[in-house]
Amino acid sequence: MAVYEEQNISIEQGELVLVCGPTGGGKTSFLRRIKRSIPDIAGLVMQNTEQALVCERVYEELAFALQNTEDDTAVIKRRIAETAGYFGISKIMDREIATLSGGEKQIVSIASVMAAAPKLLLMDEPLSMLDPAMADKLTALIIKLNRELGITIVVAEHNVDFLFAAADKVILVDSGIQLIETPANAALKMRNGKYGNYLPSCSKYAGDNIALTVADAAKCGLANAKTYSSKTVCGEVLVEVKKITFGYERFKPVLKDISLKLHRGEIVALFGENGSGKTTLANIISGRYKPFSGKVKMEKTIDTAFLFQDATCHFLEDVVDGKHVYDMSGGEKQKHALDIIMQDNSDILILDEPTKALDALGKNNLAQRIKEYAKQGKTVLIITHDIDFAAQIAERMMLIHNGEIVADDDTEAFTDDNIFYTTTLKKIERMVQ
Amino acid sequence: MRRFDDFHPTLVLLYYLTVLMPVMFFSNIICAATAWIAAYLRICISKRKISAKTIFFSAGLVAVMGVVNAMVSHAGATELFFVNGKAITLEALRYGMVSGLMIAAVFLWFRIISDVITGEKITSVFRHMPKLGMIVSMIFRLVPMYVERYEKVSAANRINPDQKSGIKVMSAVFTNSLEGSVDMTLSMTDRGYDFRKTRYSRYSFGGRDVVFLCIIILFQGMYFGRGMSLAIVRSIYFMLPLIWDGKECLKWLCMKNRIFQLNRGN
Repeated sequence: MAVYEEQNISIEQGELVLVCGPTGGGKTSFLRRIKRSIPDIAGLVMQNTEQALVCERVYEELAFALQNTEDDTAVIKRRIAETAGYFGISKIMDREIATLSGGEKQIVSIASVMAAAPKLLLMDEPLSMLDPAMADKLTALIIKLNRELGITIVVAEHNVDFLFAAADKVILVDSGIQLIETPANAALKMRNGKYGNYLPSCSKYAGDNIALTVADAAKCGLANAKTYSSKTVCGEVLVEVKKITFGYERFKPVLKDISLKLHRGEIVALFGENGSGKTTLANIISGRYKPFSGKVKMEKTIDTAFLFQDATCHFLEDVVDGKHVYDMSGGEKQKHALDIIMQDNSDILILDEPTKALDALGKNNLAQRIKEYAKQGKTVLIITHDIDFAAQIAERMMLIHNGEIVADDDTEAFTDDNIFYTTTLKKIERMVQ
Repeated sequence: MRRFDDFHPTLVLLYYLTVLMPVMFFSNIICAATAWIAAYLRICISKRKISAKTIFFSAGLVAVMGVVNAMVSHAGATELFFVNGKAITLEALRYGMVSGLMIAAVFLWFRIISDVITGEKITSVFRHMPKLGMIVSMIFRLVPMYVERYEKVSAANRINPDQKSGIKVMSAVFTNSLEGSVDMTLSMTDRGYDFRKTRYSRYSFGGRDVVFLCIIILFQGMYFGRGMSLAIVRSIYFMLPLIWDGKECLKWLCMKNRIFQLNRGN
């Protein structure tokens, strides 16, 4: 039985549908169309999490949708308890939403839509701000919701590694619907055309075979393998962070006795769980916050530039080149913000989650720009969850956990040693050996 | 255990209102003094230290008000000395000092109130005025969000707090909030927002709250007394939160001992 029908496509009850395609291509509009046609049974989890959360506290947000349909307080309380338990957010129920990390906000956003028990769930880039482990968990949750509760789910995502194989249908949207197929057929049709980059990353390493998961790719053997950068860094030290401790509250340090060095001309990637202190550390290096103890040693002549997670923070002008800044697609906003930042030609460039809104093409362009910038003798520090992206350009990788830096290696060693925090290529390699 | 401020929010607000009103309207030294002492004790207990800064602040206020009043008003019987041909009287000085103590007490109580009354408590009070309640709830979400946004945009553009660029940042924050408001509206209407409906509140009105309400009403009646008994009654009323929290604390200590003993028995 079709839940939604449009021109030549239909979404059946109980299906898990993946919508992929370039930014600005119309994925969000597609989801909105579905929502508008069946508003009562569909729930939409929006892309802009910051603005989608309207209440002060987490439990209020969960109650929001329920209040509008239920009158009985007892029923509302029960649904909140159920939903919170299912999504694992019971511990943060009383927290103020403004104090949550990006990933936590995303989960609350999803939970608040689910609390109203919609029959059709529409999700617009739900994994964008989550670290790999969290993204894995959420994907498993989405699949569970679909298989165990029979909810029809339509997900628009760039990060298709986890969802592609699990989907019943894949819809490719690029100014109109280009394709609607089962994952296997979609892979066949997409891989040789310009949409090849929208397939899961493991498909690159399977040669002529179709591989949608790491397991599949491992079975086919490894093609297009490469080693990552393993050169040891030897430029001059631009920044030395000496045993700094910092926290937002007096007795809860976020960073504990952290020390590290950044050298001229190197590209470093920083990984860590949501809320582990990556942005905080970057803010301290850039001088926005002062540490409680320890020092950040930096020459007076060295200056830093910081690209925020939310690229729109950098916009002071409303209209650029005849186009309003908020009308740009995610990728264009990112590019524009980067233009503004790079104007200053700072010695150290810090990028906070720059790949969040980017599709494969955007990521390649970004990688190019970063490499060129570093060639000028500048240092680039990238905070990201996207290990595949970082492995392309970074020479050195760090992992932060519980306020400490637990790993600091060149890319090859880092990705080789780790089991979870590593690239698709390495995951396949490990299985093939 | 249950804290004093965990009673139904409307009652808690009512209590604080009925504490502030007499302090603000009756210029009585005993009233002001007991109110100040009760507030100061509460602050010291919650901060777990004797706050010297608070004492200095209050003392300063008392002194300033005393001097100002003595210089402005020259009524009174006991003349202390003369300044510019005008008399500085003891009564005027004393009246000013009492006013200062009163204002200091009000300050301290407001400080306690702001710590205790959270945004969600205020929205519970507005349960049956859903539009107003929603606005209040959104204010508590949006104001910190916008303040943080301002700080972020300033930091992103490394703006120093000088007038011209501050305005540019404000404009950027406005644009961002306007754009975001579309998403926010969509998010609310998507979930079926209906401003006519009574909002959910997790505070219910229980038996305890009825007793508390009776106590508040009773104490208001006793205000129409005189002299020493009035002072005692007022002090008890101001100390109610402390008495309640103290009692709960003792209860907890007794229970903890018993739990501990039970565990050891196993």
